[in-house]
Amino acid sequence: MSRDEQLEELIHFYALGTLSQEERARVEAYLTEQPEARARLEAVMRTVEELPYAATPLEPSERVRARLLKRIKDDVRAQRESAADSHPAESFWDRLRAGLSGARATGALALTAVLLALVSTVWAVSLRGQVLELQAENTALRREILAQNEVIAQITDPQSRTVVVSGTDLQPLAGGQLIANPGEQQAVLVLNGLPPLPAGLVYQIWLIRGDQPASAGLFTVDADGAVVVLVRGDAPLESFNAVGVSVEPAGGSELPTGDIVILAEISF
Amino acid sequence: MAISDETDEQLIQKVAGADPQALEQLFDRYAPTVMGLGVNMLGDRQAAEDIVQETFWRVWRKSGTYRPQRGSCSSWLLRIARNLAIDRLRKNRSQPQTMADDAGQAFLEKQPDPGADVQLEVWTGLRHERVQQALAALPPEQRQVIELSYFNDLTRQEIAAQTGVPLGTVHTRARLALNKLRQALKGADLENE
Repeated sequence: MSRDEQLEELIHFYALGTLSQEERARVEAYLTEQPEARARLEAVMRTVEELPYAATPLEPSERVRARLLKRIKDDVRAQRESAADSHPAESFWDRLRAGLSGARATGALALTAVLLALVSTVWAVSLRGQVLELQAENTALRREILAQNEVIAQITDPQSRTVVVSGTDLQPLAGGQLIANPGEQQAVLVLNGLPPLPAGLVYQIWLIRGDQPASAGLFTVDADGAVVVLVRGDAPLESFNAVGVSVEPAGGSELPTGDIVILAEISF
Repeated sequence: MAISDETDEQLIQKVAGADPQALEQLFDRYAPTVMGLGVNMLGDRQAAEDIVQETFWRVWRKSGTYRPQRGSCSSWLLRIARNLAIDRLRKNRSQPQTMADDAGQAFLEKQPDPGADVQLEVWTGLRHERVQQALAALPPEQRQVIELSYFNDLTRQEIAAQTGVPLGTVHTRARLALNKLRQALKGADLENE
């Protein structure tokens, strides 16, 4: 593609952030073909990034700061409580060890010896069950590593394109990115700011073509509200108009039935 | 509160590790700029304070998504603020205010803050002065295009309609203005001052 004077003019408004979606898409397509134009855009962006400082700086009232800090304090406390809830309970061995260190009387030591013998017997019986559980866990971990390798490959691919996704009015703090390679049927969806769901509910990803949503995966989020998940479509990602996330019953739905919490147009 | 020696990037990393003190330091550095931007764009102090509150809340919650290779932390933060102000502007346009809001103008004058850190205030003031002077040095018609576009979120077509000049002229004015601003701000790397 050769230098396009019309699109060159649009670069300034692209940097100022006031182009329509269609115009933005045209400029972005041009930028991918024109490294010199990209360099010009970066220079304009650096200038535009200084513009907020043109406004006279003003101190917000003290209550803004106080309200923000309280909100953050509450958030930190909620995160700590959530982490404490998910922390595994103190093991029997920990309690036993604590008991041993505190045992000062001979009677207590004798009782401890009996307990040890009893626990050893129960432990031996349960070992076989644990081996089977570990084998299943090992298989699940290997699957997880394979999926993570796919995610890393996608994110680090220099050909990959990024679409910024935002929360809807129902979850305005949610957002993230959809990272995909043009021509490929899978992408990586990186989200944060989503609340953990109650038991029996999951988040379901939808790829939307026209007004037809197609399920593209299920996920849950941790206490931080963050997730990195592979999205799989039945066609190259750019053939879809939009990506969305809704809250659905465990196992997912045929079509979105619950709150739509993420929605973004796909335009690479 | 005294200005910290830590860079914005170091602070945002700490924020990502859930360090409220690091967020407080970023607040001290950038809240006046965000507030000024909010009042400039919305003309309403209360609305601007909402923007400050929401901007730093988002910085707190989304600090993990910040990528230094895509730009400076301050640019990222101020982009969040501007996007929030634009959302509010668009909402206001679709729901016209029934009361004239002239209260915001009173706050365009800088409010004295006895608790503010002098060094930080000087740093913010210098940067403001530099950009303000660069904008003021532009021919009025070029400055108008930048202001309508950046601060009022008008598209190039809307600017052409509002100013009564052809679209091509709006393009030329934007290009000339941004080139002149770039020249004027060249070397004005206040990040390192």
